[in-house]
Amino acid sequence: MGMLRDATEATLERWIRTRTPPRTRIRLGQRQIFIIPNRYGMGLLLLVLLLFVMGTNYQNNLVLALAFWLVALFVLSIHLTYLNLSGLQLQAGHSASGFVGAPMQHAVHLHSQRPRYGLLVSGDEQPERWLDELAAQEHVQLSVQTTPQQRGLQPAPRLRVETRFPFGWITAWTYWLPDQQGIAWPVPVDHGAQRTATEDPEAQQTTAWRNDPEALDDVREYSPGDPQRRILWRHYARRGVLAVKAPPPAGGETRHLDSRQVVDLDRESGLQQLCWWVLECDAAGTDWSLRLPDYWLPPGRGEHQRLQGLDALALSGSAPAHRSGKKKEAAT
Amino acid sequence: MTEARIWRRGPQLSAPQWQRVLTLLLVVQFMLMPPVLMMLPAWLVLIPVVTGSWQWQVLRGRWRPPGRAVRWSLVLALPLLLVLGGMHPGALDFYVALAFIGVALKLFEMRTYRDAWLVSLMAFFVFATLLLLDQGIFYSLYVFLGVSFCLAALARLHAPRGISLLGAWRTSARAVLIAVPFMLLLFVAFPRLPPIWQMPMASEQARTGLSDTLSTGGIAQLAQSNELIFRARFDGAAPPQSELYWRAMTLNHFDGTRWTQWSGSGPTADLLQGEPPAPAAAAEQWSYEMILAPTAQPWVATLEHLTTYQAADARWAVDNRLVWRENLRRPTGLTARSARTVAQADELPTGVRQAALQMPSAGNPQLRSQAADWYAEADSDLAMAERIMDFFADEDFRYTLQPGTYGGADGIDEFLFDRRLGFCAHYAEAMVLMLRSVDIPARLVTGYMGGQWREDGSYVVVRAREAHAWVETWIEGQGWVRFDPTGVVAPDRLTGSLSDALTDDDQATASDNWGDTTAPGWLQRLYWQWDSAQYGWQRWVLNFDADDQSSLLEDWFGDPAPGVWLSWIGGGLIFIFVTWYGVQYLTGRARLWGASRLEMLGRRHCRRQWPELPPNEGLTQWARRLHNRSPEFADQLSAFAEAVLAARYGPPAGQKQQRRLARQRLQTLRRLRAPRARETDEHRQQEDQGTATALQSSRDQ
Repeated sequence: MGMLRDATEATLERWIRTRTPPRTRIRLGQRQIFIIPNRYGMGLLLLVLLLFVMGTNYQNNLVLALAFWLVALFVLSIHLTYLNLSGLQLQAGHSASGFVGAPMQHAVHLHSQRPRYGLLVSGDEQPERWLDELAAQEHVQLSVQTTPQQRGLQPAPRLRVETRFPFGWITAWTYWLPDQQGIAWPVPVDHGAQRTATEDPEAQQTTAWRNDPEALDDVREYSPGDPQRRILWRHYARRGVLAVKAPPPAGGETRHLDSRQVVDLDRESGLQQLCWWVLECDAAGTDWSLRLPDYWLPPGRGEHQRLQGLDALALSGSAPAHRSGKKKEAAT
Repeated sequence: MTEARIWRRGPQLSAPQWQRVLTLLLVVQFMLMPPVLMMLPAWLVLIPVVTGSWQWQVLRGRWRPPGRAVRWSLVLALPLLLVLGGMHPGALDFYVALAFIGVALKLFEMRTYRDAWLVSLMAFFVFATLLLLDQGIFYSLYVFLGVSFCLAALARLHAPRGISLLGAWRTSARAVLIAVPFMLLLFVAFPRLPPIWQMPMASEQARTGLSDTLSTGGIAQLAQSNELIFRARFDGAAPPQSELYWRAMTLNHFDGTRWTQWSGSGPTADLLQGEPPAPAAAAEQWSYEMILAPTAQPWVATLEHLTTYQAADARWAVDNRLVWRENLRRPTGLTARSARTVAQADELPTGVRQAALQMPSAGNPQLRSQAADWYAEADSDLAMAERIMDFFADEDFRYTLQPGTYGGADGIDEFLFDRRLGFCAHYAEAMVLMLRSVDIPARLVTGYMGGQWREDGSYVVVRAREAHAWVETWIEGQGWVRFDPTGVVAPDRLTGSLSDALTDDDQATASDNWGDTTAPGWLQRLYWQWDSAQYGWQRWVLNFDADDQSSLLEDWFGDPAPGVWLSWIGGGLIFIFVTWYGVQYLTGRARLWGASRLEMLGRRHCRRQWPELPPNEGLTQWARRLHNRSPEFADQLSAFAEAVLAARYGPPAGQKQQRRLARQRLQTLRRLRAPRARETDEHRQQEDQGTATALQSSRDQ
């Protein structure tokens, strides 16, 4: 019996998953909304049955009319409850990155043309959130939280948007898998590996690039994370392109972080160790570069450099994600 | 943001839910109080008053909520109190009272979502059961309002902070009104079933109407009541006013002062059988439809010489009348047909004959000797009856509602030969006794005489004040013959309304009604409009039964076969839905013609290429956003936006041209694609610029 139920649930779950593939943006309609009378609705129908029997036994037309009226309201409320969800627009937003084991926030957006009431947003292992009212044309950002257990891409959890408005006899809900992922960085742990000063074969290339007369030595395009005070506003006013003044080259040597330095450790511990070093370098304010088996980050410093490094560590070894990292490099 | 967890973990109501739902449910409870006050023992209303004020004190933080002990003792004590208060646990109103108390107590201890829901269901139930006790137009509208309030409370329960009181009420009122046509459809089309089992009835309520005992001597002044007894509508011609004898029952047994139906306690089973007589050959017939008021009595008055009737609960009694199986407790319909004369049985059954000859052994000696004298002179029973009628006509008898009392065993002698003041029952009773004293079978018949016609003559209203008594006597060869001695004393009583027949003194005691000719004209019209509304309500709502249903459906669809009309209804519903969605679809499309449609197409293309574009921004803003990422696309988009804007809002003369331009630019735009490879990546960077997410959700209008 229990097995049968499990099997049924599994089948149902599979069916629901096929009906609700990950979506960046979704406008709820017949295909997405599930609707079913709940036990409170069943209770109402029981009362209606009681009234019908009472009206029949007493041959009282008004009691019958009341019973019919409640039935009509019940059927109508299927429509009303459906309407309270249909047309609601859900849009994936930004997923913040974070370390494994730390809470990660995924922002999602709700938008509606019409006013809606009493929406309950919940998710797998999410606290329920109650949206009493969504006014017409209102835009609401919700933030859902997950705690990644391993590094890599961390998809946003599946959300369930439910409503019982107006009368609570019918439950309409939808499942939505927002097509958005955060990146879970490995935890920085100092496993005590010794950093050997390996010569970076590509360092030379970097220098060449740096010496390129076309590329201004200390001016580069703005990228998110650069401090505001470094923005060259005059440059922006003239050309309409945000540019920042690169930090002055550190007085000290450039630290080359390399996965070959941690071959003694297992793969994950090695990444944790590299992560520790990245944060260490970042804190120290020195230039650093990162080499992974299939990735290379040129020397640099600052927030942007740190984020790129951490992302690379998180995605190391997962092919598609890594391609994305490569492109990032190319784009910068 | 509220963390109101309604139905999963922890069923407790959140604070705003509790307060706001409670307010509305208290209103609903308050609405239950007036009908309960009118229909049930008044002290019941004290319960919600006490629990309500307690709750009020709890809300203000002065008192503590009731403990388990208090709640349980209330649950146990209150039904006991009901029984002690004189309500019978088998009667209907006991259960109504119980449900009413249930609402008060459940509301008193309301803490959870389930409680609130249960209160709403119980309130529906109380409203419904009160409908069993009162089915007037006003109360029905009142129930309509009460249920709407209950629904508003539910709407508020599900959006505690989001919806205003007015908004909640508007939501529920809209739903309620939309549901009405569906209710009417079900009401007309849903098959009416016969009662499934016997239900407990309401405790007896005293109502006026005809009593089955009559003691004329003791009545000094006849009270006049305007209480409605029935309304009747004739199909086709109606009998003349003086022939409107509505016969309710016969009084056969006289013990010297008091008349009762039979010598025993009431009609026995063997008296309730048989069929109405057939109409006499070539006799005029009248068919009519009556709506009987709930008189809480089993007997009903029908036009004399009833030949056929249609009512499931009616039984034919041996003294030619209808008796209901139960006391009439709700307006009841009756379709019947009466003839001017009926074929009479040749033989009078022995039991009936004995009852019609019964007489006290002593008393009223003068009456007996006078009757014996006349009988000796008369050559037939008929002549004897006519001799008595002549006596009433010739002597100085006066019709009055205030005859004073005639006491003792010889009271009728006093009336006949001394004071000669009386109303219908006095004359009828004296005549019956005179006939019986000479062994002519006779009986007292009570019922109603005449009635008040609506101005347009569509129906006649009969009230308690139209009560009348007359005589039937058995004439060999002719059967039962009616004699009405009142008619010869006060002929106006038969042809006009009651007030015409009364003296001025009597006029003062007779209560008026606004439909009378004495009332001002506008009041009469208003009165009759209201009366006909009530007639319509009782005829077409309260008494809409299976027969009406099939005849109505037959009128509409021609064929009473259930399959046919079911498919009509099904087809109708499908038609309604298809039309509804068709209209929705078309109006959805219709908004998108011309430039708006071009804009929609353009936006759709942009969103496909750049899914991250915020939907709430315009084309120009999009073009600005895309400027860095794909200048070519952005340029084309802003050109398109310019044309669309000019086509929509520019000078009317140029709109057509601009629309053409916009269409061309849309074609160009559609050929452009977002650089696929960079899309997701740039998206992420774009998002990075956004504000840091916080646990709270942020809102922007």
